[in-house]
Amino acid sequence: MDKLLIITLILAILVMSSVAFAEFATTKVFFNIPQVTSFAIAMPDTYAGAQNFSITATTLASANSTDFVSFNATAPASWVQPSAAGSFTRNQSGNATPIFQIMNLGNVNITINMTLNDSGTFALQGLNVSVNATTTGGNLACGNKLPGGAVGANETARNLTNSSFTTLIFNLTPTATAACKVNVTMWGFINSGVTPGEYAGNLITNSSKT
Amino acid sequence: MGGLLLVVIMKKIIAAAIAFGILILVAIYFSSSISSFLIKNQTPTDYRPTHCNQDGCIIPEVFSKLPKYPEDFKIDSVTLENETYFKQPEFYPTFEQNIFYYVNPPTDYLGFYGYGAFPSEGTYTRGQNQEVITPFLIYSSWYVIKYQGLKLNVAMDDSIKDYFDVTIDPDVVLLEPTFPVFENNWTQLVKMRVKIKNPPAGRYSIGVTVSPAPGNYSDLWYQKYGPKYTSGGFISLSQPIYKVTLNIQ
Repeated sequence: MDKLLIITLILAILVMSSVAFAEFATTKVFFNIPQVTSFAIAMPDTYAGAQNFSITATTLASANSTDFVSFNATAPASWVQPSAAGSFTRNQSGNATPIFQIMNLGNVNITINMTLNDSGTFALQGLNVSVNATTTGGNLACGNKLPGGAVGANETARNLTNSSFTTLIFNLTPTATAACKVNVTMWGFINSGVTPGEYAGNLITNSSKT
Repeated sequence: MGGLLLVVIMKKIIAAAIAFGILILVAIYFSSSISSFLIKNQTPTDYRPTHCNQDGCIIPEVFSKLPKYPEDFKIDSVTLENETYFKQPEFYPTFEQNIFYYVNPPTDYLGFYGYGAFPSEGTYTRGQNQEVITPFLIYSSWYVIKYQGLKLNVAMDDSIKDYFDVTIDPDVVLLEPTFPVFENNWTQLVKMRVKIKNPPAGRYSIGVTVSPAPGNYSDLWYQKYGPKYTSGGFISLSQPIYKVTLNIQ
């Protein structure tokens, strides 16, 4: 009888102790496939300059909240290079300084589209899309394919139509290093009758300096 | 005589065991109370790990507007809906490989636009007339300096639209910048609710796509943030930012 009592007490203590410690139990549930889809677009600038925090729309007569890229000319002009809106020192400079760099910051391949809704006084005259992977030995490092199946090749004179999307890059692989980016270079054609500050659509503003 | 001695010894052992047990329980009770008291009455400790690469480490100010990094940080279906966890950049699988943006950012380019979703897909098995509520996070991509207004849209094939009622909450979001510091609302929890009506058994996909925020939202946010705000829209992804696959039985 005494032995039974002892065993019972010991068991009771053990059980109560386990209950007391139960609050420290943890349960882990993991996602099977933690897929992330993400991209970012960068433009010429530097945080040290911080121009982006002081941009005002006043330099573009009717620029609005979507001003982002401007093709500026005081007279009809061809092969006009864009600049970041409101700061004409932040220009594209040919293929050396493209107006956009696109990065795949997720962990799945993505396809990037672009659209332009111009106002009739502006046309995109040229569009180059290439891949910068200088530190990894070449374009193949990014694993992307341009429309038509070419890998890492430049393109010229792509047509962007109003209000419809054109594919820039197929199956862009994740940007594993800072060096692996998609470069987008654009040239605009501004015909006669351009109105200063005329809004061209979406993030692209067609304007003369005011 | 020997039996009596044994009984006495046994009684002492029992008494000792009881006393020991009570002592343990009291100790546990008080230690728990003291811990709870301390936890409730002190500033939470930030348990964030240090993030470094060959160029240096991310300075703490980068995370200064976020909730304290929890001691029991983990990524699972519960913490996905708790902002103490999901607002930490470490919650996202691609953060660690992109810390160079915060350690040694590029000097010639800045991120102006970009977003992501985590997780970017979900799979559920349901029967007729049931419902799925699937959460995901939509966030501003690393290194983006702008406030972004986005509209989230349901994307599904016309042939299956009669089978499902789908809503997204919220369907318009303002994502705050992730550079130079993470603003508090750089990421937001979104829930997609799918009411299943009467589809034939099979597999179905419903996606979420992104477009610029509606004009009334954009106008409001532009008034507040000025040129720090963008609604984007001229570059987009061809695939949904989030996709749910439903196996209907």
